[in-house]
Amino acid sequence: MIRGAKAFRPFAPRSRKTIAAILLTFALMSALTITLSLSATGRSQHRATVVQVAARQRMLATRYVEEVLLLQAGRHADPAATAAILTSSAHALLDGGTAPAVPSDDDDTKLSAASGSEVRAQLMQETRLVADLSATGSALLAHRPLAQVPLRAHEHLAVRDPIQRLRVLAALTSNVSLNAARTIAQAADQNISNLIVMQIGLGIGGLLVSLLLAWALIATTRRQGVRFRSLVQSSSDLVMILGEGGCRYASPSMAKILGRADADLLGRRYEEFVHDEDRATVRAAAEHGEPREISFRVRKANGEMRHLDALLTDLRGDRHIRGVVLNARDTTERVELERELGLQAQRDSFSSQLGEALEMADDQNDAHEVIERAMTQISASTPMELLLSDSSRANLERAAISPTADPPGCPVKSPFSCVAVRRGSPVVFDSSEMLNACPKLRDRAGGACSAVCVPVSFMGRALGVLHATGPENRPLGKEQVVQLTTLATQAGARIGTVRAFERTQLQASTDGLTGLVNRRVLERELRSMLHAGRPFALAIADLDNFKQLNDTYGHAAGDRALRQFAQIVHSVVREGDLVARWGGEEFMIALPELDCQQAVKILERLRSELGEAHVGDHPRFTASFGVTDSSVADNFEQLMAIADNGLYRSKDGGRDRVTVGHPSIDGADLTVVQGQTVRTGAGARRAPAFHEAAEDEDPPASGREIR
Amino acid sequence: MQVSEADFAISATHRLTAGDVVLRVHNEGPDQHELIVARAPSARLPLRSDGITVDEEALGHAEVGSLEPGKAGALRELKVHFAPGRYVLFCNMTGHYMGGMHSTLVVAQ
Repeated sequence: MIRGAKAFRPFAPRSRKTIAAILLTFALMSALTITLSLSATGRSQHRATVVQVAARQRMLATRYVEEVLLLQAGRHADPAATAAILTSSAHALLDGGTAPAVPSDDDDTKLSAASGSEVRAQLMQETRLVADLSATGSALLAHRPLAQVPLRAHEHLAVRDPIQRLRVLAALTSNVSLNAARTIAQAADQNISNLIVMQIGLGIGGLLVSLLLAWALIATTRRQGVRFRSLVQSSSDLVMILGEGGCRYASPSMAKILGRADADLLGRRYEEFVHDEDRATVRAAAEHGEPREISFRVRKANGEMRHLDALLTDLRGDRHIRGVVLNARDTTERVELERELGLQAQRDSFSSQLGEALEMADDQNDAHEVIERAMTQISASTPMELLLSDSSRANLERAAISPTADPPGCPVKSPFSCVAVRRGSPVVFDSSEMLNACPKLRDRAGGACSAVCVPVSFMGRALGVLHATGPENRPLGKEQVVQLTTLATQAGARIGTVRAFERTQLQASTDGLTGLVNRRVLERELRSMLHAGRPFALAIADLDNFKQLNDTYGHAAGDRALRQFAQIVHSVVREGDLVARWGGEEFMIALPELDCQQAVKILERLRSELGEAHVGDHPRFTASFGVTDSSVADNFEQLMAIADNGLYRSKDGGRDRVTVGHPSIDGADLTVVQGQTVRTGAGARRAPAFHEAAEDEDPPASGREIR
Repeated sequence: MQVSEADFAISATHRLTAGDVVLRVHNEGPDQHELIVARAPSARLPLRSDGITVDEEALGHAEVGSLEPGKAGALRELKVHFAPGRYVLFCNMTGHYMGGMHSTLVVAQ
């Protein structure tokens, strides 16, 4: 701030100075008027006394002549005393002093010296005439010649008669005394006139000054009013006064916030624009008495909601306001930002929890369970489903559904029949009845509906779609769509990853030629089943004369034979049965929940299928089987030995047959298969095939010896 | 025509040609004085019963002009038509005529 510059104080009570100036002016004017009046009254009283004394001289001059005549006639009289009073009074009137009392008439009178040249000249003339009168009177009484009496007042007396001469002098004295009294009285009148003029002047002056100050006061007040209005109107703060009859004032910024004209707001009650749920808050604050800060929402004319923070001050008792003053700020942006931040935090939390849960899912089934739980969390009552493509990626299958609601039941069969998958972005349909709605939403069991479809993908490749339905024209909210999108993204990532992992695992445990699992996988499965006590049948198959086939038709033909055998096995066994290439031309088949006899039936069907199979450029081939089940052995090795026993007995028996293995290699054990007697026994036994296989885990394409 | 009044004398010309004359009357004071112009054969004018003041009623039409008492220092004018004859200029405030305040004027054709 500039040193010495006056601070800007818009509401400083400047009018006090003006009011004080008005009062001071009145006081000064009144004091001056009173002083003048007192002074003038004092002077007027004195002048009245002077006039009285001056007028008394007239009477004394006449009395002096009478007393001279009386004394001359021998009567008792004292003209000398009268002459003395006359002389003293004349001097007192002129130069001040005491005018002596006239015996039995009045008292001594103190007088000030006369002022004013005219009256002083007259009084001096009076003094001279009094002297001439008394001198003439004295000469008359003393019988001296009057012509010798010197006249100092320039009289030119032509009369010779002494008495007449004395009377003329008395008349002149009387006349000048009268005129002096008149002059004094006129001066008093003039003074009174001057006083009146001066008082009128003072009154007018005081009035003018007061009017000027009052004008200044009004101007100041008006300026303050204008300043206040400017401040309020240009302020971004929202000001409103709510009186008994509704809104009494609304600042332009408040009118703008409410989307109405100032005049349109006047008289309206706050209930008309305060949100229903916040009216009680506003009412309570307005009636609280003390200033109180509250937050509430208002509805604009166009229906839009705004959030306000306001200070309510009850000034209903203030006659200048007569209402509750509401001083508010628009906090809509802040509130929305806070809400957005809160939602973002919720999204982050949901995303984080979902990510962690999916990370813990070891396989697709686990992932599906997590997805179902997430569906419940997004909206328990909303029908949702996850449709995922199968390994061919041509068909969509229902992988997960919301456990707390009916499945939406989207009939889409193929990923690319889904519009959301094709677009690669979420699609929201307000109503299944709209022209541009997905046709697969129509004719659902629940009737018309709204829907949200979010594509699920992994590394840019479509995996499926997350689908949710809701009441018509009331689709899931924006926030839930965001959560569904998060779920689709993370589910896609996890399922894609799990699938890739499973594929990799499968590839690592699969025989490259036949596509069957290798012996390590099967062995692990069998040991697991044995450990779990789960019953199964186990068969070992070996292609007959495979070495000969290889040597005669080449390794390529041998490989084709191996692949064909694998295909035929697959076509015969049940889903869930395990088939593995054990090594060379040897295969293992595990048949859960079956015993030997049931297994033999299946193997016979396999042998039959093999006999009828088209063989292409290599001759027909057969296979020998040894079979057992988990009821005859306690461990994997025993079981394998028994199955192997069966196989060798099939080989020994002439190949192309199925033989049930025996736990003992010493006792004779005859098993009738297909009407043939297969003999098994000691000496016929050679080292179990799996031992050989163990030595040659990765069989050469040419296979092993064919017997 | 200049007329000067003072306590107690009137100074003015004593001869004048007939006709309308403006008298410029100066009161030199100190007392107040009036001026009365009357046609009269001599300065001895008829007095009232008090023996001091001139009987103006007795003068009748002989009075040809007059000024009311004027304050000391006042300068006033009086327009008078003078026919040939003798005139007396005097002040008739009490005692002033007898005190010597009169002057004669002869108006010639």
